[in-house]
Amino acid sequence: MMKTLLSLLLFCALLPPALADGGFLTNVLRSVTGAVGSKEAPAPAEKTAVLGIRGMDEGETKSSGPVSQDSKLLDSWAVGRTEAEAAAGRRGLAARAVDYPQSTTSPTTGNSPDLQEVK
Amino acid sequence: MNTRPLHVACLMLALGFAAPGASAQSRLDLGSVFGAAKSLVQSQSVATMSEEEEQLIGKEVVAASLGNYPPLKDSDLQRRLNQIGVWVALQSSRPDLPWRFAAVRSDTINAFAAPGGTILVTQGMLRHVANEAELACVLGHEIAHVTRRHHISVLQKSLLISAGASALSASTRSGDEYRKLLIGESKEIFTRGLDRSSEREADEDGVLLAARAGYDPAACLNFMQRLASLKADTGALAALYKTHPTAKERVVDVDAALGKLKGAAPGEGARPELTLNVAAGGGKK
Repeated sequence: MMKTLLSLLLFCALLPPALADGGFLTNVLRSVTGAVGSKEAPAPAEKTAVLGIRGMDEGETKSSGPVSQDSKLLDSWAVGRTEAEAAAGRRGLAARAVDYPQSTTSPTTGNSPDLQEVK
Repeated sequence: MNTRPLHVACLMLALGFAAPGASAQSRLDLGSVFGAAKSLVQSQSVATMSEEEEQLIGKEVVAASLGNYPPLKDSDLQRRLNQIGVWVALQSSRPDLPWRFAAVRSDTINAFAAPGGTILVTQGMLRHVANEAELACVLGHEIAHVTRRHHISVLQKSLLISAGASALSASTRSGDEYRKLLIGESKEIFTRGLDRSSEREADEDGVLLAARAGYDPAACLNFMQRLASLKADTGALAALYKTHPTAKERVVDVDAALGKLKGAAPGEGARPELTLNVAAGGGKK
């Protein structure tokens, strides 16, 4: 255990500058060095280098700010099955049995309850 | 031994997630993470990941991404978008995921999917779609990325390629080697997009889910044709084309998908007017 910890600290000390503003791993490693007293370890809490979603530009991910409370808003706007079905019904929409031929193993379509209705 | 928590830790590390605070970071056991990297590479299947793990990753992704793409503060618009999105998602193989849909501030024409069931749609996209049926096609495409776990799969494939065949049997591979592997992959994996086959699958599923939801599936072709008519080098489309095939290629795919459909022909189905008042939803960024 001690040997592993020493190896990790050595690795952190040798991290190249190019990784200094890198991602989570770098922050984690630096947080470890900070925990044992490195004077150069910056506080990682407010630096949120993110990535994440396909299509998000790399530059944008690096400039991400602290995570906001906005994600909680998404939960407040969520709707359930009943509300979605009722809203669809009001707009004249009704589910149909539609599929592609021989797509029974499709992860998207394979478990559909109406799959067997279409031949 | 239950290795799923290790898989999650490994994936979050590889995805480059930033925890919101040092307290979250301190919970990570680095030794376990490196062990999980081996496990992830060796498992060669995303099927071992639980739904909870997938959602955990997705929540981190979404929370961080909203820093760049803040949601429009319009509850009516957002709930209406969720009604449409959930209705389409109910036609998929994973109707019971905690689906979340949000319109976000951006003039680009784009939409994003995060593992676990959260879909973000830009203001630019909402302005571009001509009706609710076209929006259903877009949402269906993103829903397919979630149901097929495309993002998780591409991460694992990437790790496998980087690790190399020899790594699969190298149980003594050092933590440093895996650490370097993860550093490299985390920088690349999600900014380069998914592969062509994944996008084609998502386009096909988008047509299918829209049709199942009662919309005219031909709306998907109309949407893609209109997208193809726009100049590809415009700023609004730059991000989209960075990670997707060109709209002209996708027109061919969608047209082919329409021809294969059983149970709904092009032209059959609804094209309701889109009642989302995007302009009132917070305006431009």
